[in-house]
Amino acid sequence: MKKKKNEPQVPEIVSLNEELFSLEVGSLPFEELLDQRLALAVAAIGTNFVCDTFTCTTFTGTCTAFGCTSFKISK
Amino acid sequence: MLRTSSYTIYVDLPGNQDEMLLVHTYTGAFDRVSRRVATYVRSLEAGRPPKPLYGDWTPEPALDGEAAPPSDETIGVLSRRGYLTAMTGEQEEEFFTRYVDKLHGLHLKRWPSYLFMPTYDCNLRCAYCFQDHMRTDPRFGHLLRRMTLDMVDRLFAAMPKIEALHGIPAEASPQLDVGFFGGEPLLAANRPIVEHVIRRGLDRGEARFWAISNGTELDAYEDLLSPDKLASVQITLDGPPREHDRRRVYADGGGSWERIARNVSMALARGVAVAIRTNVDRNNVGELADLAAELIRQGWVRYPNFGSQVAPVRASNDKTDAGATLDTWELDRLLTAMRNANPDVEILGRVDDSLRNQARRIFSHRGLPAFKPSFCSAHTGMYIFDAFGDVYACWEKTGDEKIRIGHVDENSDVQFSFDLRALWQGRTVASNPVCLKCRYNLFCGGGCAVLAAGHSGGDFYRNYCDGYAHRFRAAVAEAYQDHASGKAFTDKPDAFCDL
Repeated sequence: MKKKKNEPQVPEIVSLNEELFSLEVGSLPFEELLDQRLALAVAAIGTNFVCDTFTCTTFTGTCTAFGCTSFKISK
Repeated sequence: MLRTSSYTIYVDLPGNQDEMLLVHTYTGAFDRVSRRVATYVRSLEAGRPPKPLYGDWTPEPALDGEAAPPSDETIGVLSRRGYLTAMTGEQEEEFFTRYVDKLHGLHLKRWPSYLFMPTYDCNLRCAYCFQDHMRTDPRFGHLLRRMTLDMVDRLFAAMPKIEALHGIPAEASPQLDVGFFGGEPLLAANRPIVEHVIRRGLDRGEARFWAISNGTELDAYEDLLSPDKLASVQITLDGPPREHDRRRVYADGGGSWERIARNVSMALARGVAVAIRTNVDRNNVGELADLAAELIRQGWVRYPNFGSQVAPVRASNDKTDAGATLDTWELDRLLTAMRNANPDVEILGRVDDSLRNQARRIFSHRGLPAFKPSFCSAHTGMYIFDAFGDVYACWEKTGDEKIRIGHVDENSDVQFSFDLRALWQGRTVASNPVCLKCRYNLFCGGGCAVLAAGHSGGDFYRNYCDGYAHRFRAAVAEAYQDHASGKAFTDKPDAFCDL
């Protein structure tokens, strides 16, 4: 593809986080991968106290400890 | 043949003409892309996003520029991250429905949370209160009974039966989450009830306790206020003393600021997390800078366990002038402007700060968002007990047998109204047809059912979007720009409920 003149020099894409899962075929059957990742997502939320009732980030110490409203999956 | 996923969000970055952010709802991906790539992705959109029936909706950013394909490598990343998909629109909706059903099913298997309402009575008479009729209309006088200790025991005996419905085995170690709500739950006269609930909760095992209180009689609970007992309290202050005393009044018209302020100081000193909520409409929005100055003067902001957040007043009774209310987006913009003009106002949290904080954490730690299949725990596992043994799903909808989801009888058996329970617990972003097609759905969770019902004549499977699309894009853009500029990030407490 020929580049246009004056096109800004910025990268096409920069990923800012990891995705929960990819729809592309991996080593696990997709449904199994999805089940596993969704379970991790719910486990990461912690208890109802931390996330649901308080809509999270409430009471910093506890929420940070539980990684509430954001979490990371160790791959 | 690839098409753009129906769950792709485009976030403009103000002042940056060269790049924007892409967000994918169900993979949780956040990417910065060149404007050219964004234009290409937009050009593969199959259709328009649905318009909700109620609430303020905002259009997506316009498609501009040439839709030239990016490199194969970038197309590969866009596919892996979910933005481009080989699924048709119908296939993707089917997949998404299955995904949400799995996710919601997992949420339903978590420990339920419990909310005790020791009484519907209250010592204040705030004009905008959604329960105002209970204290002022004699037809509801029968509701103003206080819970008994026997009723507390009856409700605790019922808990394992409720937990069994969520698949929690009887031998599991409890992770109790117990809140107090009212009326005013922490009236001095309610102390034996509250103390008994805490004792019974701790007898079961690990337990956390919190309350939503007006703070006027908190001094009666001083010895119970501690991180291992009553650990968190939300208290309302509706402005600096003069304004607050006009709005948060006793039955004789007297103001409540002085007693509340004394109790806030006491609770903070005891290590209790105190979240100040300020209910705002057009009549007191101009007082917020003075409120911020007062919070600073009181010395509360020095405590790490102190937080504050504003919330819009909702017109939920005949005494509230709907014309004086603000919507969430309007309030957020007004407060942002005040913060820009006066840095002191930054101590007042905005409603959407939880969105901003979530995005900041994602950018800082390369983390993932919380995927919300439903709006709040009213749709998963919250059980609200009143003095009569009636069980409700949402604290905004109590005191009416017709809408209770169950009743705990003399034998501590829970007589559920399974239809009503299913109605609440079945409301997800996949069961609501408009939400199913919305690209913001797993961030918003489908919006508040009570507000949706209020705006649609009682159907809470409708929508009240409250400008969410606009709010989301503005919050994520601000968070990204703060992150990119290295602006310091401090997590501040939120309010208890978005309503």
